[in-house]
Amino acid sequence: MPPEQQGETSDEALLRLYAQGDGRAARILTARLSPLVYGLAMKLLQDQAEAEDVTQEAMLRLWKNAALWRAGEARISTWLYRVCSNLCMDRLRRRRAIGLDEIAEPRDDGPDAASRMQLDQRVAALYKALEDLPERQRVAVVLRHIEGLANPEIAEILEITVEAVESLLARGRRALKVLLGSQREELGFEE
Amino acid sequence: MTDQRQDKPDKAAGANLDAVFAMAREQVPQPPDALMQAIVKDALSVQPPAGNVVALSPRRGVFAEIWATMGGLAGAAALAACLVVGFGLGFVAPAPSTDDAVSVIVDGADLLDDIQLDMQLGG
Repeated sequence: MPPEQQGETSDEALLRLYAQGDGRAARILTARLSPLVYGLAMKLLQDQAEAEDVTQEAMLRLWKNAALWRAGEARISTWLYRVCSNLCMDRLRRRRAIGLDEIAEPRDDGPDAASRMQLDQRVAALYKALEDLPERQRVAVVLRHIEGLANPEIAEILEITVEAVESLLARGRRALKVLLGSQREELGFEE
Repeated sequence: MTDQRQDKPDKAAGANLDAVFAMAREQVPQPPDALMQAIVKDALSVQPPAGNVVALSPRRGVFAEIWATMGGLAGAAALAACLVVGFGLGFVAPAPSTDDAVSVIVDGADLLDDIQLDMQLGG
């Protein structure tokens, strides 16, 4: 971990320093928080350019809200996950509305998807299957099973109840089992 | 028995899925340096000036909002001055009394009588 990411200073304290004009706090927060946002955006969108746009937009919203940030209300990372999830869901809905045929760059499966993130074939198949889930299910599954967040935090991010999160996850897992199950042999899964 | 036969493939599918999730967790996409630089540049371009007092405490209450809306101390002073002047005028300004009004009416009637009398006398 780079030295500027180390230290005990909380995100909230750094944001306060940033709002008071400390430029170094902006660099530390960028190094600490941007990878979280970018990682989630990449996993949800599977598109580097779009993930970069979303990350930059989410971080810009953080900077603009710094002076208005209310202490103790929400963790900054949770707030950023929420902004990122909403921005990604907007883009995913737009994609669906436009229709896959009209997207300039064809979204091929297998090798191309894998080469975009240098993924293992099975992980590439997972991300391909995730594309078939409704947006909120996809976000919930990624946050829970890939980002490793707890259900209450996911509920806070999606602004729904914990029960609703559990329901989204159950349906998402069921759909993924079916989607990946159909490629069991190619992916070398156990029966 | 039937349930057990159905459970087995479902458990295997669940285990396969969990294994892929675990693999996906290990692959963490890193943001490009150019993006990180752009984010820092954005941060510095919208950063409040140094020494800015941050409103980290809860937002102002209703009275504080009203106080700010009417211009703070200067606004309150102007309002108080207006009130004092208004009250002062209310107390000091002479209002016509009832007696004065009656005398005006009586005087007017007398004047009319005098004019009528003069006309009758041919004056």
